[in-house]
Amino acid sequence: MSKFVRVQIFAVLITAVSSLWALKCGTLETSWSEVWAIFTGSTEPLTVLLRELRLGRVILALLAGAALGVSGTILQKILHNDLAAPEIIGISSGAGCAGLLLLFFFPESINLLGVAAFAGGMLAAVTVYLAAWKQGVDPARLVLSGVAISTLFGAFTAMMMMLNSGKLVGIFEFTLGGVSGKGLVEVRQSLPFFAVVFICAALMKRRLDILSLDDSSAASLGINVELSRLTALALAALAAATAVSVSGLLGFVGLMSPHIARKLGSGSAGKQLLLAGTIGACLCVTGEWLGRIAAAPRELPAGVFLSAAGAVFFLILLLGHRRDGI
Amino acid sequence: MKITLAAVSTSLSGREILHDISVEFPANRISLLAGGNGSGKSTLLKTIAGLIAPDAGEVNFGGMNINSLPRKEMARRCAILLQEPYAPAEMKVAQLAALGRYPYGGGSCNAPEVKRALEDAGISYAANREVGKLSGGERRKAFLARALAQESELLLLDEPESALDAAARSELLNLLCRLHRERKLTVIMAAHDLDFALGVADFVCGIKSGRICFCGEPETAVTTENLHTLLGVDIDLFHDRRGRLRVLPEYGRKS
Repeated sequence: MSKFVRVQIFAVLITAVSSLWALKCGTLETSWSEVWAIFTGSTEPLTVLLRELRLGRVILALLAGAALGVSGTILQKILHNDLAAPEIIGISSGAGCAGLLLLFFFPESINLLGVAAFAGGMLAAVTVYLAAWKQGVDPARLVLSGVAISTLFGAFTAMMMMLNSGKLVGIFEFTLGGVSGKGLVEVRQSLPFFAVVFICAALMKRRLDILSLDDSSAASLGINVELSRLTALALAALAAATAVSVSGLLGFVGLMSPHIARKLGSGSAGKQLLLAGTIGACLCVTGEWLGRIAAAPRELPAGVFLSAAGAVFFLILLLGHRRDGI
Repeated sequence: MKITLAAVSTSLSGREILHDISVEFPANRISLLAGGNGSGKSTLLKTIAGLIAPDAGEVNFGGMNINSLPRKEMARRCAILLQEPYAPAEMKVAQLAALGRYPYGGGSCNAPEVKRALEDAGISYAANREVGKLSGGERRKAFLARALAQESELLLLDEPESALDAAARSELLNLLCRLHRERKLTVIMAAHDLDFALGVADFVCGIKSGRICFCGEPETAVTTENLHTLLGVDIDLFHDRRGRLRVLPEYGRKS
C-alpha cells in the first residue's frame, strides 16, 4: 500500500470520527444509539429532527470544506503559488460581498443566496482575470490582481456593514463562516452544484498537472494555456462560491488543505485534489463540532476556529518559507 | 522531417527579435543553433515549436504549415526542452515524464514509453523523487525525459548541456546519436558550448541579432572568421587526433 493510500485512508477515518462527534454533540444531548438511529430510517421525532438539522449541517460542512480544498488546490496549481487560495485572491470575498448585498437589501430572497454568491465569486474571478491581462495572463500578475480585488471587495463589505449596522443580527455569522441554521433542505439545493464541481475537477486533473508547469512547457504538450487556465479559474470560483453560499466566509480552509495535502506527499493534481478535499471536509466538520462544544450550551460559528487555526498555520508557513530562504 | 522557415519575423513584447529568417534544417539530422546571448536562438526554437506565432513568414514541417496542425498533433510531432522549465517542487520525476504522454491521451507513470524516456534520459533511478529535491543536472534530465516521452519526430533542445557535468554531457551526446540512429529523429539544438555540440552536429546555423549569419555543414560553415563574426571573440579551430573538429575560445588570454 503506497504512502498516499495510507494517508488518504487515515484522513477519511479522521473525517468520519469528527463527523460522528459533530452529529452527537450539540445543545441537545444525544446518545450514540440516537446517532445510529439517524442512519436506520427511524421516524422518532427526535431522530427526524437530528436527521433534518444536525445531519444536514454535518453534510454541508463536509461539502463546503471539500469544495474549498478543491478550489485552493486548483488555484495553487494554475497560479504556481503556494499562497493562492479563494480567500486570498478575491473569489471568496466577491461571493461573500454579493451574499451580504442580498441579505441586507433583499432578505426575503434568501433562497437566492447561492445564486448571488456564485455571481459574486464569478464576477470577482473575471475581474481578477481581466485586471491581470496583458497579452495573456501571467500567474504572478493574477495573484497580485487577486489580492487587490480581494481588498476592494473587503472594503465594500465593511462599508455595507457600517451603513447597515442595524441589520447585522443574523448576518454576522455569514461573515464569520458556519452552517448553523442550515439543514438537509440546503443540502438538496446545493448538492447539484457540488457534484458539478467535484466531477469537473476530477476531469481536469491531468490538465491541472500540465498547467502547473511553465506556460511554454504546457503549450508544448498540446493544450490551449489561456483557455485552460480560464476554465480552471472558473471552476475554482464555482467551488468557492458554492461553499460560501452554504457556509458563509470560512477562512483559510482553501489555503490550508492543499498545503497539508502537498506536505503529505500527494504529488499529482488528482491525488492532491482528493486529499485536499478530504482534509478541507475534515477541517470544516471539526470546526463545526468544536463550535458546538467549546462554549456549550451556546454555539460558536465554525469559522471562528478555522480562522484561528488558519492564522497560526499561515504564520508557520511564512516562517517555513523564511527558513527555506524564500 | 525537414523543417523550413520562410521569411520568418517574430516579435516579443513589441520588439522584433527575429528578422526575416529563411533556413532549412535537414531531416533526420542533428542541427546546431549557435550564437551569443540574446541572439534569438531560444525565440527561434519557440517559433519552430509553435509556442510563439511569427509576425510574418511561415514554418513548415515536412512541407506542412505548423499553423494548420491541431495543438495535440503538433505536440505529437515536436517536443521541446526549454532553457529554464518549471515544475512544482512536489511533482515526482515519473509524473513529470508521464505528462509527455498527454498528447496521446495516456499518462500513466508505468507506461513503457515513460519508463523508456526515464531510462534514456538517465534519470530512472530518481523516478519516485520529487523534482524540488533534485540537483540542477538531475532536473535537466527529468525535463529531458518529459520531452523524450512525447516520442516526437522533432526534438528541440535549448541549451541542453547547461547544468550537466562532463559525464552527463557525454551521456547526452551518446543519447542524441542513438536516438538519431534508431528513430531517425530530427534534432535542433541551441548551445553555447560549441565544442560539445559540434561533437554530434551535422548542420550548423549561426544566428546573430536575430539574423542568420551562416549555415551549412560544420566542416565548411564553421570557420574562425564566421565564429569571430558570430561571437566577437577569437576562436581556435583544430582537428583532434580522432579527426573531430574542436573549438577553443581564447578567453582572457594574457599577452
